[in-house]
Amino acid sequence: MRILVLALAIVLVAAGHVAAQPSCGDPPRVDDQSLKGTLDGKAKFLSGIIGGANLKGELETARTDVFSKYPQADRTRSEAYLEYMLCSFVLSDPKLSAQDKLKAIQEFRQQGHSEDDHGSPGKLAVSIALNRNASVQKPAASASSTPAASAPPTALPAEQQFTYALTQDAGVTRISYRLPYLDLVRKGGPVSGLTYDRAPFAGELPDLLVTVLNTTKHAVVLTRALLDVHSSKLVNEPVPVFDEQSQNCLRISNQGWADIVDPTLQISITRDTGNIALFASEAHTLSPPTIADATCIPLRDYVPAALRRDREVKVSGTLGYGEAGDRHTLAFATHVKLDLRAGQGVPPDELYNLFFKAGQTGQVAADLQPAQEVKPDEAAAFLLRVKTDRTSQTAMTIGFTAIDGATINGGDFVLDLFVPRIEIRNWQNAGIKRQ
Amino acid sequence: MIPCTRASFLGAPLFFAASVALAQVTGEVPGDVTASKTDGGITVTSKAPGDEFSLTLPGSDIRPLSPERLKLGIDGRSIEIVTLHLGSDLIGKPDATVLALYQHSVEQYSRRDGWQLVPASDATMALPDGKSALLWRMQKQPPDPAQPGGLTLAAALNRGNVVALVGSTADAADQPALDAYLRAALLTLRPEQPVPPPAQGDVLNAGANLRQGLELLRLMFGEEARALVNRQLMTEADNDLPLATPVKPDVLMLGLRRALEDAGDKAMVTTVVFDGRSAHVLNVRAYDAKADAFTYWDPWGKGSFLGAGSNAAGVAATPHPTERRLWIVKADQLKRVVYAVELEGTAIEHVAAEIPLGAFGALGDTIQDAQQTDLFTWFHLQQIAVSKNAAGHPVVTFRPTAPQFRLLASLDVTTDATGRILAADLRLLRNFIDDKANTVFARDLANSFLRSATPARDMAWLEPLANQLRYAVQGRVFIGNSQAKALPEHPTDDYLTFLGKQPETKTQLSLTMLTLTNTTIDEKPGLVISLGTVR
Repeated sequence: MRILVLALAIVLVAAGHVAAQPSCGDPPRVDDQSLKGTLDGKAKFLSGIIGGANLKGELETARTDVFSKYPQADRTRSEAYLEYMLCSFVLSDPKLSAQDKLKAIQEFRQQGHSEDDHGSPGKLAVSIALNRNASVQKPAASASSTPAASAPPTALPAEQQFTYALTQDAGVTRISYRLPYLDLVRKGGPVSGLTYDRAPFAGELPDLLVTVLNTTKHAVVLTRALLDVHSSKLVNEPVPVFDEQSQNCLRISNQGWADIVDPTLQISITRDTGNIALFASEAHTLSPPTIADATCIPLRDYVPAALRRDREVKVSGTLGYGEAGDRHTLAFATHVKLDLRAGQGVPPDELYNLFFKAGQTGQVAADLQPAQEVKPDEAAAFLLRVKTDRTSQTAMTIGFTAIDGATINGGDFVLDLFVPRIEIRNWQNAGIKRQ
Repeated sequence: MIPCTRASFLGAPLFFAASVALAQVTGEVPGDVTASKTDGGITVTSKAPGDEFSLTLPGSDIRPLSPERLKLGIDGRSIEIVTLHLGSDLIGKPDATVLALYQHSVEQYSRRDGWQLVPASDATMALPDGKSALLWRMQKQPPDPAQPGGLTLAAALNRGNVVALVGSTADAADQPALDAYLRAALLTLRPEQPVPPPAQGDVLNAGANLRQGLELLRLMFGEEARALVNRQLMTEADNDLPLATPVKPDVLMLGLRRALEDAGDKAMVTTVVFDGRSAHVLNVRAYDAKADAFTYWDPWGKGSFLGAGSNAAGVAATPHPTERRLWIVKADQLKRVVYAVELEGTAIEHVAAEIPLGAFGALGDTIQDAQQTDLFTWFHLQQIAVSKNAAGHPVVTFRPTAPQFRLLASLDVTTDATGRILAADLRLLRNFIDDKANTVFARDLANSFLRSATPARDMAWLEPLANQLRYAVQGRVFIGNSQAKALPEHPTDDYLTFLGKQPETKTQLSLTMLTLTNTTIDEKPGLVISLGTVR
């Protein structure tokens, strides 16, 4: 309803200021042809009495007629269609001047909607805000096994997490993202190399909290949400990211939606000796090709001879990029491993939850379901998520049992786990037995 | 503290450069060093295993002077920190004895550059932990106008190492203050707690580098494996690895295909891939020329590192339609990420026989290349015959033109049909090797052959034999200590074969097999030194 009011208001403003042929917008869809015909008739009738004293009463009568005859009709859509047809009749009436048309529609709007705004039958009030609470409670994950894809994202530093905020500016409600790393990039750095698994940044798209207050006398069932997109502008901005501890080459990825054009790298490679440099740096200038997605620049030719057998080196400098006249410079510092090790990164393919009660000793077992079959010459990786019910420091040995009864020791650990006192603890632990 | 004057600072670079030679004989760069700021300077901490220490250096204007040495400019002076690991025979000796030996060693090695001890400049002192330290000065003789102040060294022991400060100043008048500075700095020397080794889990998760991967193959199959490694991506450590031959990606792919062809149905070529972020090992099983694609087995439990979305290089391998755990990757995609191909010894010879990989070092790929080398020109090797071996490959025989050696030595070079070298065999008559007068020439020819016909990395295996050929000559007197040191404690098997005391030895080199065989040559006892791929 509110959308249509806005659309009509835009029509009116356009008619008043531009004096061009205004439009009533697109007709709302009404599939019931019989209902559609009735609404057409009522609209035509009402358009003929606009300006008359009895418009309000006739309008109410028309509504009552329609909805008593078609009790299953979509009320909102039917009213929208009625208004659309009325608008169309008025605008196409050659006997009315533009000024009269404007006045007639305004009058109809006032008559037609006064009861929604002030009338006794009540109203539907919708408010939309940014949801600042945790994400919507989802059903508890399967206790014994959850696909790795639904595991929580790896915790990233705050600098790598994007968040959303809602602001009001000159009557416009704006919901916008904030990414501290991007702020640094826009300032020219310095940025540090980022550590991440697959994506260097994490965050969730904004959840909009929709609150609907229904003070009408009838139930309303919302079946669709509509986004009326007025404009959408692509943000084409490169976002260079330097990997921390990339292997054997300086890896630069582009997390933005424009290429890193004409990059020039000024780098110096040193031993990392903390905040104070103990070794002088040797500067090098490189001009890699434009970076669309990612590039990895081998450093063998630039590593000082004395450092070539170091495990890792510090690489710092600046990255210049952008078209002539719109060049950007980003200062960075990261580390590159000079060793290449294969075999890392076998991805976990299952997640198993284990729960133990804090303060109690004993053995806790969880069935690995599905079981982990590791064939000869194969590697397997899976996640164990160990949970407890209170903040505690627990020493434990983690082990596994094979199908033939053999036990495999995974080592001794001390787990310091933090559990907030006020916490939802209703997750299930099916398949976990205390022995 | 001496204030840093503009004159002294500007004069520093020339002066510091002149002192480099001495600094490098005093010791090594401390490992794993970090620095933190203190109220009046910095504290340098080394976490090198077995040599953990910290040392505080006062100063207000502190800046690094060298990209490779731990040499700092501190308020106009140059201060370098070095460490020197003590030999096992010095462990347990009194500090004063060890430091005196260290001082003597520095003096000996720096004398050739004109450095001498300043008489009566020695000063001993006690550190807070009761250990002693030694401080002394050195000067250039004749005096160097560019370095009027000379050097001061202050050394003490930390665990099994000497830790020394090498100080220099451009201003001779600053020398006493420099001495005092070094003395005060050395008094702050503290042993640091050793860093515990990484937990077992960390080691297991760290993956294996190429050297470790090849060692694993050796342990599994009992035969030394070799690798072809992508020269565009390789690490310095892998470049240094004698077992790995750097090649272009095209050659690497070709090598992989040849290795698969060679192994047939049982092919399982260990292949390292690197996507720019992570490295992974695959077992490549087959090549389909029609589809220009490779089939491989991935040790991952599910999916594959080269599957779409699992790697950072955008490679999108697809599951094999019928075989579980097998994947198919297009050749052009694999080429983008291939890092190394690990091959058993015999497989590398087959590859080297078919692809020019530089297996014969300086001799090059063809006989024409070889004839330009010193081996041929120095010994005047002249072609005397061409025959064919059992496989039908041409064998070209050369002999020295010098009449006294012409019948004692010959060189056979086997090529393929295109003229590319497959093998080289040096034949030496036993009476040439054993002749008291001529043995030097026989050894020289053998040594030159080994050095010319192998890539430089093969010296990792050849060096002991080459040194014995050169130095282990009966009745020879060593001029320098280094010559004696170059000899192994006991004669090696290949050298014993050279001497005729063993029938045969084989050594797998990076791309070829070295064989020494005592046999008959022209019905006379002789030795054949062979370097071969598949002939």
